[in-house]
Amino acid sequence: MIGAALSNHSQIEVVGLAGDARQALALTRRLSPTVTLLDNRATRDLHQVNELADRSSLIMMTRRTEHRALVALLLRTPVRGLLVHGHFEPSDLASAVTAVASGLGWLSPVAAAVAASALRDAKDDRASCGPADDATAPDSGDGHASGDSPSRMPRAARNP
Amino acid sequence: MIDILIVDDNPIVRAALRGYLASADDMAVVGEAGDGRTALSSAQRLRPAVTLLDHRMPIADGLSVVTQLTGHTAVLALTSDSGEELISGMLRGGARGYLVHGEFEPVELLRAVRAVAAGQAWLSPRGAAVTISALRDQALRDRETAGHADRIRRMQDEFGLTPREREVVELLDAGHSNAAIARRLLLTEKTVKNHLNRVFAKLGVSNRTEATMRWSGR
Repeated sequence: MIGAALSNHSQIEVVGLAGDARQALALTRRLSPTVTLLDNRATRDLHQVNELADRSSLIMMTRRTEHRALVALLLRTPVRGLLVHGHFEPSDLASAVTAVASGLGWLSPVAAAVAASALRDAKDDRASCGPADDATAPDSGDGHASGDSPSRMPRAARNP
Repeated sequence: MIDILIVDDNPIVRAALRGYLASADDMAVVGEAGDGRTALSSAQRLRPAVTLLDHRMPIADGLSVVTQLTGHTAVLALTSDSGEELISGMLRGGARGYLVHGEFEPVELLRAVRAVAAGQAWLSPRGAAVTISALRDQALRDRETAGHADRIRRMQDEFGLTPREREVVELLDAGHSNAAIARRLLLTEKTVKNHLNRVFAKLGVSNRTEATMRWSGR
């Protein structure tokens, strides 16, 4: 579905589809895509995420909307974009891919709100000499979203 | 209905925005201002749901009034400036969104206004990139102030590297290319090169190999 939505875009070529993170890594090593779209349930292994991000620009797709989970994703994984399911339009997929491919970023509105408020909060913390944010605290677990379907669909796309 | 205040010193820009926003039947432009001070009094009086705020204006610029404005209205920065400091300054000051003139489609303005009016935020691709990178820099600084990086801090005393420069040299030491370092840290390769040049100067070395040896053999 996502691969199909992107393949209609003239500037984007979908070069590979992977069903799990290991497969995604193998494809990324072979195909060197410009951008990789990764479902955040595909792996909890940060090494895998880091290697994917080293080999291409990474956009994470997530169903999570809580402040803490989104901040953790932004701070603990080297993503350049976050697409939150249910909070983006189909055309945002291509916008996110082209933005990230050109070295910029992309945040769905709910993620943008979280990121902006994290910036503000951190300033307040510093002003009051309080302890650091919850961003560096151990995370409740990015992969534990309940009720999510078990399907894992990381995908790689290349912008020629 | 989303009430909107337009703040921009250029009357042509104000007219264009007013004209375009009129095409949305859920929005109403309730006022205009050409400088920061007038914007403040208008926002106080009109209490618009959303204020489109330019930065460079006479009397008082956008950044200088953003925090006060957010007491009366949700601010969506809409300016031709896209410097990192201005973007993070606006957001730290309470702006709910950042759009750069010339870098968005008209329909994106409407989505941004709706998102901001609904209590969410809207960041243009440049705004998103700057925000992510500012958050990471901040988290890194906070970790250090909290004392979680003793070893790294000792190195700071020895060589005087900034947190970012240490990240870069750590990745260099781990064998990453400039391109990989740039991707990992969300920087451009040019910025990585600039960091590395400063690192080389501080370590007193002239190339990558020497830098790695100096860093790992410290």
